Amino acid sequence: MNTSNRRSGLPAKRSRVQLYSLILLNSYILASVGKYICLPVLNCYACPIGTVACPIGSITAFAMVLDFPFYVIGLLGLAGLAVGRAFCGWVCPFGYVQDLLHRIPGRKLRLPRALDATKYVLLVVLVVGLPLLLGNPYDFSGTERVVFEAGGTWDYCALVCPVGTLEAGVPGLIASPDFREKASWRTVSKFAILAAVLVLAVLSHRSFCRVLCPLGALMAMASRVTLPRLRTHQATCTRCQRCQRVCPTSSRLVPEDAGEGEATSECVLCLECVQRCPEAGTLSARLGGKTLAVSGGKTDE
Amino acid sequence: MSRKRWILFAVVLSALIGCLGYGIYLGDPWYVFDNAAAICYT
Repeated sequence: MNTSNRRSGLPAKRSRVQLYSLILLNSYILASVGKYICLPVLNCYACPIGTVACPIGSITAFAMVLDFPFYVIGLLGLAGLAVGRAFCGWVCPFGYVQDLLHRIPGRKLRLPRALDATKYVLLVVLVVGLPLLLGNPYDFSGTERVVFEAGGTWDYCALVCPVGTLEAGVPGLIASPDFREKASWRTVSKFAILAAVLVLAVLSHRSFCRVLCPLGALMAMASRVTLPRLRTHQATCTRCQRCQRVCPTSSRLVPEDAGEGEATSECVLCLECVQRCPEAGTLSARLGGKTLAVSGGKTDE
Repeated sequence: MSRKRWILFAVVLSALIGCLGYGIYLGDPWYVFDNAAAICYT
């Protein structure tokens, strides 16, 4: 039996965790409690079966009423501090969708690293900037905490978010005649963005996370002081570049000194590189001073 | 982690716990829940 494409070890464990998280984060019965909580994952809370509140939608809603999202930033920051971007690599349902799509065989692309900055622009302009400046068109006072209204707004959720389109827009269009009546040029453009993101996910691994995810931008900032870290020992590294080839976010292992290096903030701690590194002990994932995983010199390439 | 990084970690941790606590005091979780609506609906 040919087992060359079978996933084993850490990648297999990660796939299982991602599947469980996809189910748990879209379990309708838990939504009545979960929607008070923001987790650092992109899972649209407009979706009736979505369990937790979307941090990006929540930050936008606060910005529209000129309020600072203390609770959301506190929750996201603490989660980021504890596990960093591991949420992106192990928990985010849309990350899992992209991982599955990228398994479709065919020609693959590497996006230029310069594009990584796009997500920071989207965070500043569409998640915070425009909602702050334009507010909620349904409430012109701009100072009262009102329920965020749909449509007519200029923000990330209304203009770009492919997760919202996939999880709420698609079922809405299929199930609701009212939804179909209200469809506008924005609906068409969002479906075009969703299609482009899904096609790009097949061609380039985690391209949405790298380029378009404003939550990824927030978590990348938090990952600078996070506890778990991916480190490399320069002395035993043979520069074979295998880690770079399997990295879904094209994160670089930056040498800090002659002895050790550390992954950049794009690293989602998927640990694919640790699994594939042929040099024993060269790559290691650590939490504080404790080693969580270390390259064992085995490779399945 | 180096001592400098642990200090930075402790400062950020304290700030975030304060941020979370103040947000709960202001009633932010209920506002988040109220906005768990069809915001991507366009």
